Amino acid sequence: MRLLTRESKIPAGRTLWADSWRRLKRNKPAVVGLVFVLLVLFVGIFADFLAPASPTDQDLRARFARPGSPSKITRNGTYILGADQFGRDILSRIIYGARVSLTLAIVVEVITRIIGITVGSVAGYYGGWIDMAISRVLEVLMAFPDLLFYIGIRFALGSSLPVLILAFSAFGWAGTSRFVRGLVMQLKESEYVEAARAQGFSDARIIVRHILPNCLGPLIVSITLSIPGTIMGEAGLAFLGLGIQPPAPSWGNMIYDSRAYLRVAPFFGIWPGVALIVTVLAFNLFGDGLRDALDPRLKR
Amino acid sequence: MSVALKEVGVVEASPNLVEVEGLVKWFPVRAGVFRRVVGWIKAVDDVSFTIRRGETLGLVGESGCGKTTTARAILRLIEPTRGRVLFDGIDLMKLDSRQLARMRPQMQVIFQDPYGSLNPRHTVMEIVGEALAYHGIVKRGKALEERVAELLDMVGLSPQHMRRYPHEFSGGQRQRIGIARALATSPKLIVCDEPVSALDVSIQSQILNLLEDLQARFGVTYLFIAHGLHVVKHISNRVGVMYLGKLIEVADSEEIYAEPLHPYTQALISAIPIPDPRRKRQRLILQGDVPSPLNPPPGCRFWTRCPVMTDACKETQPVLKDVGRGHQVACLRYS
Repeated sequence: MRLLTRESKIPAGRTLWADSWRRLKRNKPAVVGLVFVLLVLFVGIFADFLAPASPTDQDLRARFARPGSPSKITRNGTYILGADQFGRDILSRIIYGARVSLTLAIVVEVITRIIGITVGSVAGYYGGWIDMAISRVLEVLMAFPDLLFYIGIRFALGSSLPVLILAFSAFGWAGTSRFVRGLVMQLKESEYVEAARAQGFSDARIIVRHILPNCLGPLIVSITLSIPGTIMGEAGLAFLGLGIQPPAPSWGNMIYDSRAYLRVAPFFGIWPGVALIVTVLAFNLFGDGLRDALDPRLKR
Repeated sequence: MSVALKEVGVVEASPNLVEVEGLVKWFPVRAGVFRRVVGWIKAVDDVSFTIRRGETLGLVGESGCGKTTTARAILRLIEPTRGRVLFDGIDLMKLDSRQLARMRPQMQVIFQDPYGSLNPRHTVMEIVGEALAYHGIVKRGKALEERVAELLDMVGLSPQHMRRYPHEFSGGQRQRIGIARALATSPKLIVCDEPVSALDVSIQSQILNLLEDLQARFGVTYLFIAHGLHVVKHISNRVGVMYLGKLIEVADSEEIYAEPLHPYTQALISAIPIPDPRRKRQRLILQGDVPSPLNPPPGCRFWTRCPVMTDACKETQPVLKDVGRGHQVACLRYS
């Protein structure tokens, strides 16, 4: 009984997370990726303070102003990255575009992962006809042409950020469900899950406390790697004229707008392109590093 | 618990903690696009035995003979196809999932793989203490910490290890954590599923001694599964031998070593290594492989490999018969 009082401080163990963090820190590209990811998040969150101008303020006399030329609409009096076809500050639009792209990507991740994890773990854990029914639904969802769906709801509901989020989420969760279902089916057979069953815990407790925490590693990696996918997806739709509607800025619709002026003002299209590439690359580098860090067995 | 369990009928306390009657577990084999059942793996096929209070029943047999399936079916970790299991007078097969969950603290398992049986994301405290808190046996907080500390001390671990994670321990230490977890809810029965097979030989005897000490202290009953007779030799009061889903011989521990009756048991005993290179010994080496449980031979399951087989063995299936002193054997030569 008095075993604990002798030394009341019990040393805490190293969690697997702490181990993974140490491995991640040693991976240089992943750290660079992480720094950029954090930078983009920071810029998106504090856009109001960081952007030198409003993304929609125009100055038609300063159309296609070169980088560094004087400006009437920015706080510091120059177009640091130049101006677009309406004389709007490109840097400000990129900064606000980061907010739009990240909001879309993150909200879509949250929605699809919550639905996907719930559905997938139920299918994987219970198996049998439940799994059969869910799997058939997933197959239908995955076979559905989502671009077609999006064009459809765009005509019905108009084009705004919530509609885009709906478009990406409506089918996106099917992939996660599949992924989680597989992980759960595998972990369900593990001896520690059997031990949990032998102790008489409820199914919900076994799924939430014993199985899902062990799926977290692969899930985090897949989330980090799918965020750039959504960002690129939006850019792709924007380039077809189906993305975030002007005048609201997104990296995709900026590139779309710049297309007509590529000869007159090449920088107009290059800057949002660079922002897109760097962000996507950063997420991918970080995600790859995370995978190695969370599951060292995968490393050759 | 009492109200729910009375409906099922509590029988007078008998000397037997567990009574298994006609336990059968067949696994369906599915094939084709429509997952049609094309056959049955007869993993456990009509097995009956009893475990007395406070004893250790060893269950041995080679890989795939159904000993682990038997253990799991008894605890309803897998649903048996048929059969009856009385645990402390209660028919486990008649319990619904809630009643069964409330019985679980009384029957625990120690698993074979000390690496796979502990959740890597949980601390030792959570692993050992979770069931106590979940079933309301000990309140969360200080009381739970003290109980877990006490349990760790019992299995030879320091309470200082409470906040550590399984990957920070060696195989032997992990198995001790598994034992502490099984012991936590003061069970009447602990199924030990090859608890030392994955450990170094030097650690095996430590764990076996620990299990014996715990039995002496708490009077817990063990069903001890192993694939070789030499492991169960010291720890078991009685030993059951399984072959291809059937229980073929049950006897007191000394009896089965001194006088094995079934030719399969005789072969198993002759396979026990003797730590004396000069001693000549007769090895009884069986011919051929174990037949597939998908399609077991008719008659006696062992006739395809039996050195003393007769034509009758191919047709008549022997049943377990008592040949005196509680020694039961399923062989036509003794019926």
